[in-house]
Amino acid sequence: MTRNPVPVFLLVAAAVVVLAAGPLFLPPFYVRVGQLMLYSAGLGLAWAILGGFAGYASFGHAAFIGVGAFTAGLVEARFSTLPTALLLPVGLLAGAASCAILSALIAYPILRLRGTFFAIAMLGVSHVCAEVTNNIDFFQGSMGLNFPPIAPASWDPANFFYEVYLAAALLILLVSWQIRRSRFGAGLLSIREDEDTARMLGVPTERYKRTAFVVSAVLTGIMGVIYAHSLGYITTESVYRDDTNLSLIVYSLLGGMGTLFGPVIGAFLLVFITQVILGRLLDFHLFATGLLLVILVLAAPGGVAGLLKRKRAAT
Amino acid sequence: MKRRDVLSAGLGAIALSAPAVRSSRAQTKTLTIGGSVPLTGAAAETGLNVNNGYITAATYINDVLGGVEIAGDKYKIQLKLFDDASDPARATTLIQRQIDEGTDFFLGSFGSNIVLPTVAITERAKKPMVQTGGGSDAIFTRGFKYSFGMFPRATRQFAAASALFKTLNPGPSTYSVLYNNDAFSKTAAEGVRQSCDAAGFKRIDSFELPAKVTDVSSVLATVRANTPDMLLCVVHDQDSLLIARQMVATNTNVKLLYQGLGPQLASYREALGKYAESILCSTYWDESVPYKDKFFGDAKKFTEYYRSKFTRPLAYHSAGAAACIETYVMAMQAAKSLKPDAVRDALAAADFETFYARIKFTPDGDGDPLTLGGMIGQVQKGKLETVFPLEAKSAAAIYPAQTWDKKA
Repeated sequence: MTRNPVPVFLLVAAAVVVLAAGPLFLPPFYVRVGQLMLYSAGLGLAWAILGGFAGYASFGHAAFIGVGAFTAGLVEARFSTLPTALLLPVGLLAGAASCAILSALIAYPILRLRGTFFAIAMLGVSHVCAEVTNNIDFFQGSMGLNFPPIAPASWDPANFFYEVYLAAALLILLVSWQIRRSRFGAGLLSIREDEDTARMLGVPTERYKRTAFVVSAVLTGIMGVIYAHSLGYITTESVYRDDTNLSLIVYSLLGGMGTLFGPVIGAFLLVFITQVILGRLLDFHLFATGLLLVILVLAAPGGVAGLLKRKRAAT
Repeated sequence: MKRRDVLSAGLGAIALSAPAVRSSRAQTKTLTIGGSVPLTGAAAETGLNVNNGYITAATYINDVLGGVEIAGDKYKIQLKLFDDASDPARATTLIQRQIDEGTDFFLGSFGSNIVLPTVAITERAKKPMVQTGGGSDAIFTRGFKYSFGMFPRATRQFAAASALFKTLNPGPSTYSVLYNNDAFSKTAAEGVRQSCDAAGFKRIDSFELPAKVTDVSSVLATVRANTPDMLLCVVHDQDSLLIARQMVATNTNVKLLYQGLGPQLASYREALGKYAESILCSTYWDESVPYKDKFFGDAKKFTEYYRSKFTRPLAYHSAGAAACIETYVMAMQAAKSLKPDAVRDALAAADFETFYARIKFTPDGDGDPLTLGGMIGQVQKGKLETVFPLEAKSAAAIYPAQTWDKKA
């Protein structure tokens, strides 16, 4: 029996309308928290295409945030005479293209590794990209890169970037949803369950993995470009962050690994905990965050989505 | 006297004194200053220094001075500082929350990549931010009116040294610059090139060393061949020592050797011994600076109070951070108001002496290159003497330096 998709669709549509209207009724602090939630959710969703669906947990996706952001900054600087409204689209195209090229180049060797080896190799990629950006003058990673203000004059920049983040997160959600319900998505899930068996059964595992890797990298890069614009000035440390690498895994762990909405739930939850609840703790916020995460993961090993599923099955 | 009488008398005395206590409490108001600092993450090492500086000034003003008087009212300072974990995105939400809650004045985080996004928020809210952690040109070239930095923008931080070189008579005319391939050194080198080129010195070479240096002999061979009057090294202290030692070993002589970091340290001077003589360096602040203020009195008293509160070694970042709070207080006193716009105007017009330096900002909000650009020190007879600016100098600069074989 197939589930009726209409209620889910209506629920998502209502959520989108409420989210889009957020800046109209939210105080500025919560608009910024909303920005972070949407940014994190977009990154979490992009990561989950490879890490959640295919089971290839990357510990270095910050590489694509950085590559996307720096490429966009450098390309936009070359096209600085363009109208302001065109700068972000140009940056997004450039950032996405650079991530596509980088991921396509490294996909073949790096996807031959599995499990911990793949995770560590991706961490290496992230660190190498950071070093290259930092040490080669052309990239200006150590000196920092400026991004011109792109928000229309009549629009509060915080509200503007909130809507841009929302649009990008929705795009990534749509792509994830399409992948999840497609033959390609089923192939990725079969890779996660048992890659060798999937290959024996005729799933083009190599092609699927590479495609998932490139799609995941491109979407991550898009989020990186928007993030850089919202900050206005980035250095290597702003974007190549190991805590981001870790957070991307935590979003899926918290929300539900391999589920569509898991990373969104996880990102919203973690950002709310760290920014709203624990934001005021001067010395203990990291300890408290860690403790809370351990408790949450122990209490709900399948994440929030797993917990909801268990409750539904029990009733 | 019976016990009951004693109790009654005591209670009566308390009751009588209560209005006096109430009135003295009513006179002391709270001045809240917000901000974020990196207490964890990549920038935590310096962030802790900055945080300690903020706490030192606020505690001293509250506990030792009993508060400060602004426009006829007595205020105690309440710091609302939160850990931004070296994360610019987290810093922006922390600052936004404080703005929403009505905080009017802000202190800065550490690191230009964190300071700039937070300054953009306070600027939009028209709330002043005084900071000692961001020197990037990007912070001061966006037309911000409410942002004030305790350092000159990065590319102007060599202005004081360059001004000193111009005062030398007969003076140098050519220079070569040496720097590491990292953010700090590269920015400093850009400042060297801009300041020296603008001052009319001819650049001979610009050498980029790796982030970790083990050998500079090939660079020194070029220096010997091209004979610049000045060799300006904006590298880290351990690299300064290596360069100086290899210069001695290879008998590479220049009339003036400047090493931004290194000669300030006693360990550097001891390691080089008599060869350290005449080497110049920058000294942003140390406890011997001659400046005075109405809060701590002078740098020595600040140092004593800091050491009574913290075991962490005192760094110039802590002094700069404490000076941020002093600057705020003096601006508020000058403005006779706690309205952000009035305080902003007073900050823009500031010309205050603090134990840290003379505080003066450019129209773009960065520190005046001459008053806040640091001082220049020179090793003379094994001691570090201040040779610039002229009002703070403890000795005249020696130029040209003796050759290494004469120092031996």
